Amino acid sequence: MEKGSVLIPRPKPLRPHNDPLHIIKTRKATHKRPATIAGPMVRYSKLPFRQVCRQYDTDIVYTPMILAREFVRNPHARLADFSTNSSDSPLMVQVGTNNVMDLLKFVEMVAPYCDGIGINCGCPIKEQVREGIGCALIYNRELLCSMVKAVKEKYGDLVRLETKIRIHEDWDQTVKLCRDLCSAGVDWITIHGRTKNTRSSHTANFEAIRYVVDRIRDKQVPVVANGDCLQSEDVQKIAEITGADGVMAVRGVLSNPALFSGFKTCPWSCVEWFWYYTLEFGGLPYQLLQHHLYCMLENMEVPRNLIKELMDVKGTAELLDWFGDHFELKRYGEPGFATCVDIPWKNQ
Amino acid sequence: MLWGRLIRMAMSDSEVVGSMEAVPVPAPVTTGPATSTISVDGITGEVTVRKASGKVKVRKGQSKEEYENQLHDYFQLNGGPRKTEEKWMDEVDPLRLLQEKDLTIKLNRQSLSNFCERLYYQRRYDECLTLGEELLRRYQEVNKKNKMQREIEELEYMVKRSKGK
Repeated sequence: MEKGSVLIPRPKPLRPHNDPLHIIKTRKATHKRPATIAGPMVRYSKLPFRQVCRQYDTDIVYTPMILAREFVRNPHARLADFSTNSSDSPLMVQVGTNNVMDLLKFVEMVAPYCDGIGINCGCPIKEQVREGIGCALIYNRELLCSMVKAVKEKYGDLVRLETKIRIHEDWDQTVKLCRDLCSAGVDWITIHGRTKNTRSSHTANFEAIRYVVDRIRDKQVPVVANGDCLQSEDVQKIAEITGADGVMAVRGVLSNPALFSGFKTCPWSCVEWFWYYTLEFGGLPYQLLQHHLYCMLENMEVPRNLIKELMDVKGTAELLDWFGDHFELKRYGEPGFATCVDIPWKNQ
Repeated sequence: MLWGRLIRMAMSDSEVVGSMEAVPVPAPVTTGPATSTISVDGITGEVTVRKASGKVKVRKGQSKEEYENQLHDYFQLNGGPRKTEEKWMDEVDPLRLLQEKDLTIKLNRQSLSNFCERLYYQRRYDECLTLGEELLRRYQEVNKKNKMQREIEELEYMVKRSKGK
């Protein structure tokens, strides 16, 4: 496909192994469980973390939200926001946008390198909502549906398009929105069981998700349930209560990337994989690396005084040495790499 | 109805970039209770955000030429997004990269320091020491007003520790 003098690659071909819609529709029949999805996290869902999740039965992984406006205008934003590789699949790229123009350009630029694109209609952060991005879109049904329609009319089944929404105070508004999204051609809908104003300290409302699922069943568009998937046993429970085809974990996988493999707490192997992938792919900003490791170690119930020490370390090499001082940290290629579940304390 | 017209314009613009000559039509769009109102220029994508306080912010649009330049940069010059396969760093000589890259750009320096960190992780301390000392020398040459202190300290740490291992 040529446009002017620039050759624009076609969207990445979708096959059963990488088509997220196929995976979501078939996992219950083929694996006796819902599709397992690691959701988008601002800053944190970068390539090394995505690859760690894939080691532990995560079917589909999202990038962090990428702002379409910046991505289509700024090479530095593209470099900072999106890197990938040949094994980064099935991959959903999440986009933050408030207009059709930027969305279509974004899809054109990203679709050759991912397996689907998700529109963020759930981010409640004030700065984004003020710009008409994220959660603002669930109150702007016409705009959101027009964005979905524009992409699907242009690409049809060549590009998978998802919308991740929050519930409204009035659940019937959510039903109306979802039915319209289905008519606009959305491939599946992820529903977070909280409203725009619900705090994360309040439990997600799975009954609300069930209410919507039951009322859009005739549309035959799958639903993924999101919110409070923090433990491995939550996966089946959420799927049963909501009737959803897939379950998305976000904070849960940040602390325990092996959540979908049934590990009750983060196994040590995740730490070793994360170190390997981070340094193998060309590093992460130090604060990101530190925060990921903090979340995993805290989940493993490493004593508070050690966690505090970790947070005082100032650089990557120093942090590697800190791990070496306290734990038997295996490097990739060494015997026993990424096989350990319990913490391999140095002095035990 | 107005929005429908804008969508058609937006779509045709993306498919055939040459349709940019049409007259821009701003479309007011409410974004829900207690948020703001945005207007979108259907041709350039310029977005005007009117906050509840009445303050107006304009998010610049993008012309056909500007977008084509971005497409050229993204697809033609860079071959799409950055791709980092496992072992990709084994195929690159960081000392050669050091000659080619502009070290006043932080991203370039980070990329080079990452080679050093990977060698440290792999316990290839002799190579880490050699590269670290060279990076230190070159970083110090461009370190104006000590803005690179943190990066230099990190390299110094690796050099010092590599000597002892």
